Amino acid sequence: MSSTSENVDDRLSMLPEDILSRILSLMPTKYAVGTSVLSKRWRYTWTSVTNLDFDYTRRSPNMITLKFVDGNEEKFTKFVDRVLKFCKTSHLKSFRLHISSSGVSQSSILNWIDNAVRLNVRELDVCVIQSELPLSLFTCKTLTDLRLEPSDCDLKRWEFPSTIYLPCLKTLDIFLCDNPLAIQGCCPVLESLSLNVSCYVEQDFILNIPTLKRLNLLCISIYDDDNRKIILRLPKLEYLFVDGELCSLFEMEDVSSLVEASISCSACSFDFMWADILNKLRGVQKLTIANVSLFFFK
Amino acid sequence: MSYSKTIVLTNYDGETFVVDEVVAVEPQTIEHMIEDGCANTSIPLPNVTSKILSKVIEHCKKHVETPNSNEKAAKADLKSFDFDFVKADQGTLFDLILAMNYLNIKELLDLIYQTVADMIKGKTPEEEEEMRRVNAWVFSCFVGVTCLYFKSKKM
Repeated sequence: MSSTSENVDDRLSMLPEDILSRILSLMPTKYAVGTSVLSKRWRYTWTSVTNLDFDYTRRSPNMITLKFVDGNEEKFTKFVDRVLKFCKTSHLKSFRLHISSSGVSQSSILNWIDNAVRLNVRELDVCVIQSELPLSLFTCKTLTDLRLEPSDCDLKRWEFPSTIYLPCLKTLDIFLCDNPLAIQGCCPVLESLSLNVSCYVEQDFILNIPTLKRLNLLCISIYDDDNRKIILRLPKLEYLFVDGELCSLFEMEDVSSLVEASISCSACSFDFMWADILNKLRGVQKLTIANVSLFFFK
Repeated sequence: MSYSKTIVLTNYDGETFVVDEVVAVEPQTIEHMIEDGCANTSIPLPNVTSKILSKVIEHCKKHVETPNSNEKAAKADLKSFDFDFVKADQGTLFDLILAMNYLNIKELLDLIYQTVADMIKGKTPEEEEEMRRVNAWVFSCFVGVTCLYFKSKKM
């Protein structure tokens, strides 16, 4: 080996341990663990990573997750189990778990998420096929960011349990949830929320979160003659984004703090809904409107 | 014209660099030294070579000079500056890590760490940026698919 390349190799290995653990935290966990075969010096370095990132998905050419089974599920399960066993951190900064294989057992996934909660996880990003989640997740005291997304086009829906208390949660992104309104009153510092409005009951959708600054709504109409209203009681709201279909009348009680609004919805049969929402958003500093056709996605 | 104070930095080789205080306080370590009253004569930075120090000053200047606005152009300009900044040979990159770690410039450290992480993964920063762009697009597809799904269930 030439002396220059030796030097270059040494430079990385010579970095202090805390810098290396930060660098190894910035890549998918399989790469971080992979460095353990480099040399004795690297053998246990990865165990001090503060982020864990597991991805076992397959995607179509247009990047939509596909359901599959490829026979390596057992290996993947063992790998995640071992990483969680050897990982030294007691304060996990982020935990990302994306799985679109239906061959990974539900109990393993529940167990991994439960483990992340035990490791005081702050940011949790879960995209899996199943719709069950461990109850411990909903009373996690350290969680600041939570993202829950169903993994395939079966689109099973999440359901919040009756006991929720997330005292530090600031950001919640949840796609396809049966009872998204259950979080009201359970997240005292929630600032950012993304969710779908796809009600099966003919009730008004009332969102009442005094701390919320950013809201991203995905509206899906179920009934053509939708008479439900979306009522927003969000006195601190600064950013409002609406996607999907504009299918309900909006009622906004106080929009004085609104800075930016973006409505990009598919063509709606009722022009008065556009007129209504534009009227409500008068006075907002920045407004973006797009009439998106859903045919694009077919 | 506002009064602008200058700070003298002395590096590893004994060379001195005179910079405006607003630029010098970008690194938190120097800011703390100034706050503690250690900056009357010159601030010694024995861990940092002149090549690296001038690079660090160049970076701090750019970040101070760019107006702190929400303007897309200014942000994009700063981002491409940072991208070019970390396009250094490995030796320089590791010197920068140690210097930045000592000076505590968090933002740039994050970017350099990400660059080294991408190197370990065998990806260039451009490829990684492309990945992130694709991921943003995935979400917009997801919205469409979800709507179609619900439409079909309605029947």
